[in-house]
Amino acid sequence: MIHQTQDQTLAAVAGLWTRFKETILGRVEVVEQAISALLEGELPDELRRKAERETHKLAGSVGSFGFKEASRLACEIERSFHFGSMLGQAQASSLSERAAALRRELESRPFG
Amino acid sequence: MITRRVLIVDDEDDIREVAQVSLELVAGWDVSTANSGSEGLKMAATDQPDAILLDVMMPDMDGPATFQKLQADPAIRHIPVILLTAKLQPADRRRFAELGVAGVLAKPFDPLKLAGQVTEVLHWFTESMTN
Repeated sequence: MIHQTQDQTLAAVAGLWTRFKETILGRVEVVEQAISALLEGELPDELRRKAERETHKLAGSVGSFGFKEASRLACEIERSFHFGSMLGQAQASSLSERAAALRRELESRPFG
Repeated sequence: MITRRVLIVDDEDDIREVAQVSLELVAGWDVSTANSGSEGLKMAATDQPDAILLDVMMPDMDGPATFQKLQADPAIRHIPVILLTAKLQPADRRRFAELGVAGVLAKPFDPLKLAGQVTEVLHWFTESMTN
């Protein structure tokens, strides 16, 4: 009975992931845009704040869909955007790697 | 088994729906949802739920502001509130505790464990065992 309930719940959450995946990957796109701007040497503050908000949403949501590592990566990226005045080229490549890892995670199977 | 009535207030559709299916399927509770603090206040007044799960970061009226409005209304101030937040530093815990909320749960939550966490925070398990 417990296993049946667990299976039903995980199936329902997987169904929600299918529905919301595009929206969630849209948040990753905002993060990627901000990192691209940073790599090009100019990250407008408005875009930085938007990327911080989107990573906050990612950090708080994707773990519930089974993507715990993606949630951790989003949390790290959020912290970097939060301390935006200290962001420079040195951090940009590391952020870029984290964002790529975040996307890879989210494009894999949930609850894997 | 007691069927609880829980109101979830969160501006993010995905989180609101995961929390709803989690509480409905795992615990069999009756769950309603609101996508803003102001809508949550209205629904709390009309539905009189047994508890409210309230997101901290929302545009317009955030969780703490919503909680304060709820506390100012004698018709709904008795309803226990659990804050849901992705930012849970020790300073935040202290700030939320001072507000007088029943508890704070971290996001992301595990959909299989959320009902158990709510039950524990609100001591519903003990209550249902003794009823």
